[in-house]
Amino acid sequence: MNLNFSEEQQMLQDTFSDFMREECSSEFVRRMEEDDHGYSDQIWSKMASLGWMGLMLPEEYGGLSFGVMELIILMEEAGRVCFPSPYLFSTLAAIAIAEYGTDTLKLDVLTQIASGDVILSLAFLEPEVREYDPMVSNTLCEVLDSDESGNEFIINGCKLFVTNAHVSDYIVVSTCRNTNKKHNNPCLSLFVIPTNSVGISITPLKTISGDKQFELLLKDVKVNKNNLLGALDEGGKILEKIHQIGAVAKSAELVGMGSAVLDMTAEYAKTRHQFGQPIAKFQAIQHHCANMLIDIESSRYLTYKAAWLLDAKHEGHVAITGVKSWVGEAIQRISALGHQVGGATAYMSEHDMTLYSRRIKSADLAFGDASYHRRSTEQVMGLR
Amino acid sequence: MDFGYNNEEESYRLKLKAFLDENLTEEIARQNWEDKGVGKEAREFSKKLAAEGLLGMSWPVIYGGQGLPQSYDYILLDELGRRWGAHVPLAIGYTMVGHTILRRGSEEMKKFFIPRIVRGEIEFGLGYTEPNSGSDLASMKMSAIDHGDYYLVNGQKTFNTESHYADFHWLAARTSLDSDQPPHKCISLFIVDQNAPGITIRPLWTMSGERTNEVYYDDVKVPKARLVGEENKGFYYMMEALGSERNTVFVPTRLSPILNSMLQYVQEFSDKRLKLSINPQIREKLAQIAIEIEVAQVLAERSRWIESSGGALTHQPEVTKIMVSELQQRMMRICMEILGPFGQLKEGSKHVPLGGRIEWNYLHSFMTTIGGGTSEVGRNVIAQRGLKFPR
Repeated sequence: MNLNFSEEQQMLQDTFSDFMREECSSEFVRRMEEDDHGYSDQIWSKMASLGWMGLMLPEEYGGLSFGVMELIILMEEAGRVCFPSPYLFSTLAAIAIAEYGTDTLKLDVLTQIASGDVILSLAFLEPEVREYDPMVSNTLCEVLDSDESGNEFIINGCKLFVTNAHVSDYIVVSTCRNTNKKHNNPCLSLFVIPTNSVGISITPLKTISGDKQFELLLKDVKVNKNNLLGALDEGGKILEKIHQIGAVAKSAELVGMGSAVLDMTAEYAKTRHQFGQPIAKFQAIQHHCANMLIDIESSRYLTYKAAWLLDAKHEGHVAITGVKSWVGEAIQRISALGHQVGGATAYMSEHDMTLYSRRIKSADLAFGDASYHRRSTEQVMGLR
Repeated sequence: MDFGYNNEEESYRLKLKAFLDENLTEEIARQNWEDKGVGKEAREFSKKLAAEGLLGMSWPVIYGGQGLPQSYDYILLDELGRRWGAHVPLAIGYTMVGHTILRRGSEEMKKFFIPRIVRGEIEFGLGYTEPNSGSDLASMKMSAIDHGDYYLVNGQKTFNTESHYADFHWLAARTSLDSDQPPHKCISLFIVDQNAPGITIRPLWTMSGERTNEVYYDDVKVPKARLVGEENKGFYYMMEALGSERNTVFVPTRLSPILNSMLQYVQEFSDKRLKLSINPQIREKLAQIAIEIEVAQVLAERSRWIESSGGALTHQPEVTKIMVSELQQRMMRICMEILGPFGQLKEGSKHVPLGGRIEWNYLHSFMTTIGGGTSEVGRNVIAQRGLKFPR
């Protein structure tokens, strides 16, 4: 057991932290919220030049071959400053391609990831699915009739909550060959679809955090077998795997946001005077802030443990299936207490607290909320 | 970062598990868990554990230990916890006062007490709380007056849970009575023979049936050699030990047998011919408990790591303590809810589910946020030490 970061991990954390503080002020976050593009190309290029696009990619594609632990170290620092970028979804899609993509696909896509020239996204949620479940797809994939070789597929369907679809070059889309509208259909096929394909249209969604999410409509979109991840009908396992990494990474982002809220709140409590003394002297305020500290420390170490378990291939552990359930709720409690201690001032949209509380809700919803992850936990406990 | 145990540690765990599966009977585990008192069986068990070379792993070799890292004792506590054993049978000596004796005691004191603790032979009772000194412990009135080669001790302690079966009383008393020093600089620690003349022990019964005690001192003579460390440093020694005591006393695995018995119950029993485990609300609540036990475990691991790697513990053990104790209350409420009207049945009653352990643990859980320091004092400590808030 060693619960300190390794020297290399510590160096990464320092670098990420310095970079994020340098590049991402709250003024920048506000500007990006209003901006249609939603992130900075210049910062993206800088990140690429530091090698971070290939953080988890094999070295043959210009990657650094790091694990989930290093990814969450980055995500925690990104969360601390509400950093807007297509980084997480692009990274997750790249991991899936690196592990399950065909050689053609890897050559086309992966070689351009590390340089930052290609951006990817994921599309797995749909309008009909109202109880969060990434494993259900009504998006139809059929073998193209005119193509006797069976190498061409045609995709029809509608995906929701597709992050940064407007700047993505490829999107990993979950499809199903037999959409009998049955829920929990495990026979998913994942296609990496170029966004410039004929038949694709996107519509922006207005969200609580002002991030860039889209509806993705696929109408008779042709895609080659080379763009299939893994085997036909066996994409469920791949999606489950990257969804799990996504959930742990989002937990880390939540931890970063929660830490920033606690720092902001503690500082305010020490300097705000009422009744002739700093409000930090009142036990009610001390207990609110102590609760925030309990929630942040439990969330941080549970996230570290989940990342360690994933890297050590200890699958089916409650710390993995349950992490986002605990962290999502804990950081939302922090958000609520941050507002309570911060009073009316922190409720004004010009106050940074409002950047965090909106994004904390948004991150809670991404990759499954608490109730979804409790259901996954029931499964590993043998209750389902 | 590495949350795993190394091969040597894992092989200790394997040996230990095999021993516990064979020797830790329900009777012994419950004597220990339910503070019924350490009986003959538990004392035998403790000695056997030591004789097998499974006790005292993390203690210095010169006092009979094996000189290994702290992690071995944590493995011991974790594995006992998983089997309804709250802690090592003679826990106060082993997990609490023994460490202060090591840090602060004279060589003579260490040579006498530590090997006996490590061999599982002796137990201590904690003598801190008084009727008018609970959370404000430093305000204690028990007095110990210097009479040359002994101290003359008078006063009353209360809620001293182990005193009716302990061999020694680990006593905090005021040694500077007229000093203008603040109260916490007037307290000293002593080791008193529990059967010394002038000591009277009276039982107090808790609502879950555990025994705790009032302990009266009437002109009790305590030899000078039984003063721990320096005079008037006692409160400081108590505070310096608090973090590591929290690490050994609040063991999250102890909650897992409760959860496991509930999992068994909901898979076994049927309501309207459906298993209770089919009910999504029941399933979700049990999943939440499992997640929270994991949260408590990871907090304990982190706090233990700081201690065993030589770091300074500040607010972290309080975080673990609050999480474990409040989780225990939350989970017992949920367990009782799942059992419905059957939850009220006591051990020995017709129709009692799970041997009455849920009912007992439900009542016991009210104590967990009070004993060893209330959650409120704990939150003050977290704010003041963890966040540097003003006092």
